[in-house]
Amino acid sequence: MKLLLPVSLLVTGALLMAIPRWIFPVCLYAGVMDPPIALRMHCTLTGNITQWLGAVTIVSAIAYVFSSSRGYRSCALVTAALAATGTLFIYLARPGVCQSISMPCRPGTLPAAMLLATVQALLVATGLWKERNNSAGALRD
Amino acid sequence: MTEAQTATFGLPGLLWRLATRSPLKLFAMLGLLAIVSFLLSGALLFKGGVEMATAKGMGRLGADLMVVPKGVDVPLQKGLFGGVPASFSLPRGLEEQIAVIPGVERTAPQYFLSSAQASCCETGNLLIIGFDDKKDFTIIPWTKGPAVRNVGENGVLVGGAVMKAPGATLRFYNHTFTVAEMLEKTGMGYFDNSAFIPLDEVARMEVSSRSPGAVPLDVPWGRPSVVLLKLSHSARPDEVAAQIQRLSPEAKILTISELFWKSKQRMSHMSRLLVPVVLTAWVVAIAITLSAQILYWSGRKQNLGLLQALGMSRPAIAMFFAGEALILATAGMAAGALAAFGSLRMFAPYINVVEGLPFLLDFTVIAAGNVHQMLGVFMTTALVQTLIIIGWMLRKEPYVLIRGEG
Repeated sequence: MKLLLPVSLLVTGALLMAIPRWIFPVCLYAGVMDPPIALRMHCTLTGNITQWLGAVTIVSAIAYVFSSSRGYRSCALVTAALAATGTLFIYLARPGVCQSISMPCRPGTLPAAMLLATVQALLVATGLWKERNNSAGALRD
Repeated sequence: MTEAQTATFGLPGLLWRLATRSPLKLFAMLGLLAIVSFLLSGALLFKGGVEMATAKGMGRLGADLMVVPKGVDVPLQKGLFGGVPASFSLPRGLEEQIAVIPGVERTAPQYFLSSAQASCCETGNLLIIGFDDKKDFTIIPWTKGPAVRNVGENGVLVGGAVMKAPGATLRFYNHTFTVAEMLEKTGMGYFDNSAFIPLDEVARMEVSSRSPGAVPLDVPWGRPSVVLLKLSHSARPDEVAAQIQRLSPEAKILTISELFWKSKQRMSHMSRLLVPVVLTAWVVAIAITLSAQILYWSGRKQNLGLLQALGMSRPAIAMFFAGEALILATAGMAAGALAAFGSLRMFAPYINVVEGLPFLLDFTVIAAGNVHQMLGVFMTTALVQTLIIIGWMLRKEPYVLIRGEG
């Protein structure tokens, strides 16, 4: 059961890395636009940042498993929370995705990444709550 | 909370502490109920959303017949239901010939165009519909008021899913347009994902597109993509359709219900599948929740024994635990149904564009799709299961339960 949270975070991180390129690809990787144009599009930048945020989540999950102290584990969770918040921000605010609904990034990448970021945020909140309870218990002891 | 408050508590405090003693089990139970509710309500919401969008879209088109070129079924369906750019043309002069057929009251020609690839404004690949604002009866009637019915110079109407508010600018083919109004969402790509431009403005855009360095646009004037027809009350659609067919064998004449035939057929396939799927899900859900509840309440045997030993009557214990089960079931069901609603709403454009199905999800679908009834029945089932398990456990003596036996 102790591994449930980091394994879940590993899965969300891996999915965040895979979504903009393979599962629900952004316009560049979906091949609907010519690469010279697609490379300058907002959704390409958003997709690339999403992949990096997925990598950050994976690193946080690994750090969580190998951290010996509660402080480090909380830091790893806060980093994963920032990655989730960052994912929501880049899709909802800047750089954003295409405004045209018929572009692949808008009906596919946007909801998938946002849903995943929400799940990740909920997982992290649960983890932080558990860490807080554990440390309160340790203090009482 | 002060020391005195934590030191003493009454019966409700005891019950609360007993229920929340193991938060992990509590959340696991909640999560399981939420997953079951997510699957069941998701299926019903999906069906309700497609039915609502189909009904709304059929009402909105407002035409009796639609004339399209033959052999364009796939791009037409994608354009109408997904708002995916499509390009096709009717034979020259057909609209004028149709307009004089007895029984044809009004004709509304529309030109389906596609915006050029562009990274600057991010509106590439948008379905642009050039319409005759003097003859139109499909788009203008759904604008909010007479003030905006005249779209005006450089004006464009956009669908509810195009992320441009009134007053914002859109640039197509080297021509800048101002959004006059955003139409209400219908769940149909044709209305939601398109930019509607009056033909005068389309002509100006065509001229602008011929400037050096711009992507040229060639509008097939006189050869619209579709012609929508409104017939007089006395006219018979099949007779008018036969006359048009005689005029041009290259044209295909569709009634609005024929247009939605494919999505209706897919829905009827889905509906046929939905009944056994929901029934199977129901049986599985009952089995899963029963097993989960047996595990959950078996872990609470000592609590039951303790309360009995403290002098609480068996009906009172059953009532309190049934209350706990009801709260758990309500929270789990509500969380699952909300998650299904939110997920489907987020993926609504995907269902429209990629799956090519009309789909609209708002809170009225919950009532129309009988989701509340399904949740009610499921909660009652969970409650009955709890009462059976508790009743069976309460047959044991308190000391047996406190020891965790039986």
